[in-house]
Amino acid sequence: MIHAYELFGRYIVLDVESGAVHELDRAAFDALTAPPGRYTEEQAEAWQELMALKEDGLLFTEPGQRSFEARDADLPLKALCLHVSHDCNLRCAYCFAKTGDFGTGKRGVMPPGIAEKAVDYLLEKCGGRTNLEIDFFGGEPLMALETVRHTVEYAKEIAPDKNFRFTLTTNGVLLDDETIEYLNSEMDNLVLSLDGRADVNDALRRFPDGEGSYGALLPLYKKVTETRTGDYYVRGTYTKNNLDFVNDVMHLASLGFSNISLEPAVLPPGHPLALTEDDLPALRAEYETLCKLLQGPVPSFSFFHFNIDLSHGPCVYKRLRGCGAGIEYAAVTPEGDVYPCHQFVGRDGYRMGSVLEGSFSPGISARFRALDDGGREACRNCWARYFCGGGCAAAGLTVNGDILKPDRLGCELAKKRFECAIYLKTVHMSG
Amino acid sequence: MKHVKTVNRAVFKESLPNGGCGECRASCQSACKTSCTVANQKCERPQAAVSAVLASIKASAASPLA
Repeated sequence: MIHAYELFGRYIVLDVESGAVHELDRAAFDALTAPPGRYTEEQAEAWQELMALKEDGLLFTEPGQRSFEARDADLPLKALCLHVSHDCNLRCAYCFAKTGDFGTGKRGVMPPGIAEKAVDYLLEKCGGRTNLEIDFFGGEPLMALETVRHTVEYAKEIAPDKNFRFTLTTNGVLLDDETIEYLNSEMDNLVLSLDGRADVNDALRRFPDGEGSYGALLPLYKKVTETRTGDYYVRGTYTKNNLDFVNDVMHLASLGFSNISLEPAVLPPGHPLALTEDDLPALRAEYETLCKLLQGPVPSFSFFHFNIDLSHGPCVYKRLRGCGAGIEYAAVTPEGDVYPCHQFVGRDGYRMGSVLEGSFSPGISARFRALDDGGREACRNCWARYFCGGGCAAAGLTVNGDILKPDRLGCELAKKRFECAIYLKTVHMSG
Repeated sequence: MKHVKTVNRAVFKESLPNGGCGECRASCQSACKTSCTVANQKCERPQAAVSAVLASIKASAASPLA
């Protein structure tokens, strides 16, 4: 299978099964798309070159023989999303966590003792893996900073041979100098939430009293990023309210943030802020606009969804497995309950164990293993399957009521982003 | 070649025989984080090790790979 497309006058073809990418001239592009036997002389010449690529395993590659032993190998747990707080100090209009308590009706923070149990649980189930991840999440995790500090300290002390990578996703409200210094010292990655322009942000990201959060957060985020050496992303969500989201990306860039991510909101059908398929042409055009803005020799910022590693990306098995939710990635609630990921917390039928009992439901895990390689019908013939890994199972459940049915809108946006990302690589690699 | 410029070689084959080591980062695609996809990720193996695997594949005339 191949995927051939044109963007800004460049003709690009991706060989789906091998990962090879070629830039074509117009004759070669037309040779790929014109009816066989009707080639011009130049197209026929180009076709010979394309056939040479096929001979070299760089075009029209058939699916390779996979080692099923490798694919089906035991996949121990390696990443935990710790819900250190099921409470929040903002009331964002699109919050999937129901403003922090995940619809459980119970607000609170994870006691340090439960966090220790979660670390023990991860270490017990991680097999021989060296790289382990702990993501502090919520609600708002800085409402449980004591638990965060305790977890980091405990993990490093109890397993000095492991390489823990800590990430914290915050709304920023509780940042102060001491906390910023701590986070910049201990967190491998920080995710700082802000939606872009002040009016866009403040329409949806508000304090409980209704006041917008932009003015309070901006100086704090500047302080974090100016002193930070580790990874960070200033990330926002775009909704039906701001289909012109590139203006928000550029606003964040104008403030000096160099790592920016803006995500499409995933909301149940009918939600007033939900994106719909009618929005697709406008959203595709936005990504193209952003792509054009980033094609200069030294872009001033990095847009997360255009980051792509063509030459040293993950292996085929990882590409097919995707996020690993419910298999090698799980979320833990403040009470110690285990779910396939943070998006499934509180959903009926998805509690898969407890760190207090050391349990991990193989039945639920098997449902998530079915997502791998062919489990999702929509993915089988999709050119982007080795780039997206199957998408977000929770988004499939939210939009289509089934983890095996990907959110089509999300798929279409992801494909446009991959086209832009591959285009940018082509520009930067071939000049 | 006159009509085609290869930008990226066929890299997926490298990992077919031996499978993944499982050391790479999680790639959560949830929009409330950073919607990481597998495309955003790097392999945790050193590039030299990956290149060695690729070289051995190329050297094998009887490779079962497509």
